[in-house]
Amino acid sequence: MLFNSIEFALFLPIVFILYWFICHRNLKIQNILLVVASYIFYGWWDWTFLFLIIFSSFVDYFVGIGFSKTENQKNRNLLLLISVTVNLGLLFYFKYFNFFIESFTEAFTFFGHSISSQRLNIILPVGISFYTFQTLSYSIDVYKHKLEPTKNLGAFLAYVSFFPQLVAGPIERATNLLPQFYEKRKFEYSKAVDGCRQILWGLFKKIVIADNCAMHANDIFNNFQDYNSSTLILGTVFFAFQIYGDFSGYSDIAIGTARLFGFNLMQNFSFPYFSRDIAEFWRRWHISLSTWFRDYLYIPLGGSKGSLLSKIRNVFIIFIVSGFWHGANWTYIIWGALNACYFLPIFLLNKNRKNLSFSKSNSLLNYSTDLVKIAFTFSLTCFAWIFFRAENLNHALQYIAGIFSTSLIEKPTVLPYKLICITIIFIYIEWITKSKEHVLQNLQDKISAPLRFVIYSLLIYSIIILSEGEQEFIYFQF
Amino acid sequence: MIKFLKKLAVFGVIFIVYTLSMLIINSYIIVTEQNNISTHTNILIAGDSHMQKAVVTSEFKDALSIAQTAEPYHVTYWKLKFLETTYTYDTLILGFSHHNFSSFNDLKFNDKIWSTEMYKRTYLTNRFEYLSAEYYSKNEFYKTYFERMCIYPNFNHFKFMGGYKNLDISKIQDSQTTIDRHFYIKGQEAEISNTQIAYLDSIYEFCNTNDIKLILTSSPVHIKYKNKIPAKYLVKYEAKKMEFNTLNILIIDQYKAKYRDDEYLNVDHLNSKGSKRFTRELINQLK
Repeated sequence: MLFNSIEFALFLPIVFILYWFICHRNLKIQNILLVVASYIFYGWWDWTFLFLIIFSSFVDYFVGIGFSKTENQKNRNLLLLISVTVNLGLLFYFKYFNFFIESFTEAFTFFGHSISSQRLNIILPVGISFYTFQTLSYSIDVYKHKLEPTKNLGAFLAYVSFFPQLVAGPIERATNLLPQFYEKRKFEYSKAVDGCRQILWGLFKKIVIADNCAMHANDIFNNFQDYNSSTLILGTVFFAFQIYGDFSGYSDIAIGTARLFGFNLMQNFSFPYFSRDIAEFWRRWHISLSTWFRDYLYIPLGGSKGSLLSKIRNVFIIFIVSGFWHGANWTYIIWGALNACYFLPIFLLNKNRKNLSFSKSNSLLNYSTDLVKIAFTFSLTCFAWIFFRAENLNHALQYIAGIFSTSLIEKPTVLPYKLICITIIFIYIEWITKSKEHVLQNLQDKISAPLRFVIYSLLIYSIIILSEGEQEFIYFQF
Repeated sequence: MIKFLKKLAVFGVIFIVYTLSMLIINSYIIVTEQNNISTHTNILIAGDSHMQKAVVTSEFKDALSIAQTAEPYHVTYWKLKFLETTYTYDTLILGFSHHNFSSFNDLKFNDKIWSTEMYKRTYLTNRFEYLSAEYYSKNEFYKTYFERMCIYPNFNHFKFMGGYKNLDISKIQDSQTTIDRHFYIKGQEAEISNTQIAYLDSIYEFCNTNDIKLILTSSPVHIKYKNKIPAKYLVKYEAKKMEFNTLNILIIDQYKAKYRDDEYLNVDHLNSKGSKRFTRELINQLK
């Protein structure tokens, strides 16, 4: 079920009413309702893959029970190994099996040994990368004694399958989300209103910004040979806003929906395109994944401690693995490695924690310096997005060659003025509200009720008028 | 909880009431505008930009042009059907050129450049239910309808009425771009459109039923354009001409007429000077 679909527009109020009016007296029943609703939400695509989530959930649930019964390190290691093997095994099989088969075949062919291989006809289950990481975080945290293993099966199943964030995150930590299923949820007016606002803004980002940018980005990337250099640059900018609007829009809808049910999910995006360096960008982009890798991969590898070589190694590992998490394609690996290259100089100069928050200074010099840094960081990000968006490495390289051609100073052949104006207004609105968690947060503080009504109506009207039909979210494929 | 639901309901109700009010207001505006249109003329001129730029309505005693750029036959037919109950005329002069048969006309509602404009012109007149689903998007239609009818009082509902428009300049440039646009789709020669031919026949039937004299006419095109029209279009055009001749339809075929370069706006349109000459010649032939 897509967030931007009629089905979801009916599904959400039904679950909301059942949750708060029918099941509100009993926490267990409320949790069971969430599990059933989540399975319906997920099964809407393909119910057969529900078994995968249920299987993964039960494995980690019983691993957790196992942890609670033993303090023997060997046994605990074995239990963790079971969880990691099952979760990553499923991920490997469904997402990476064909990639490895093809890569090995190509490598052997390259060295003159022709071998035959057969691709398996595997369909990638929606959201597998997200929920396997979420269940893994539970097992690892319990293993590390950061979290008590749960015996509450209903709560655990609800934690793994919680529908707002099931298919595209934020990837929640068990330490944050699981305890929320143990406590009786109270309806909070301000939280629900804020949730609705965040959903509205998320829909705007997805439907108005992402889907409209997608139209041009897809056209330019798919027919790049027909366009001049400046159009290709514009194509990457459109893609940058497509992926941002798409993914952060999804996160906003997920967080807002969770708030309607009394849950707090972590912030997943914090205005990343206003970052002044790549380190800051990665603190603001897909925060739940970056911090997951930081906590469960980077720090266990040694993090920023150790020799210079191990520091460099760790940086490359985390970025390349992060790239590979997005998809089984060399383009994602290069995208990750490219980001590692961007990040490394800042890291080695110990300047990676320089821009921790947005500057509050109003001086013109600070402002202009920041703008230059933001533009530079955005350009680097856009360049890396070419690899992310391209079908394969050859496509990416040809696209880049097209950019660095003699037609660089020509006027773009695709110039959708309306979309460019909307995007500029969107950037401006995000800029002036960048200190908030989302654009419409605490709107009541400064804006009167009638004006708020006008703002909501304008957003709804623009969502209706500027929609491009039901477009899938990019991150579903990951 | 009650406060939240109440506020949500109030917002929803106000939003819906406002939207419905706009729908009612716009429906009223449409009725008023429709009443303001003259209910009868002797001659109605329809077609695409070729007719829009070639026929100067003011040269006639009593004529109205509803020709518009890029208009395929099915849109013309919808317009005629829409005006059927409120507007009467004795003679319909319809544009009839080779490019009108090209299947590029079928794609106007899917075309990136034209689709937005096409939906804006046809949200009142459309009969999409009779059109093959591949040629339009319901979603786009509903979006346009909502935008034009439900948000603000719109005083421009009759954008589809068209009318004579021209310029006093002459730019005879490369004809290949125009030829490519009219007769080629993605580098391949476009098929002759069964849809366009069927709608041309429907217009004929419509005129027959309503006792309207149908006159088919083509305006002159520049030799640079004329020489590049693909052969199959020339054949089809002549065949269709013969077919209409047997039905006693008057065809004023001027596409081969020799006009001076300064009478062309571009390779396939007359400018205001050329259109005056063409209209005078047309009037003479009608006498």
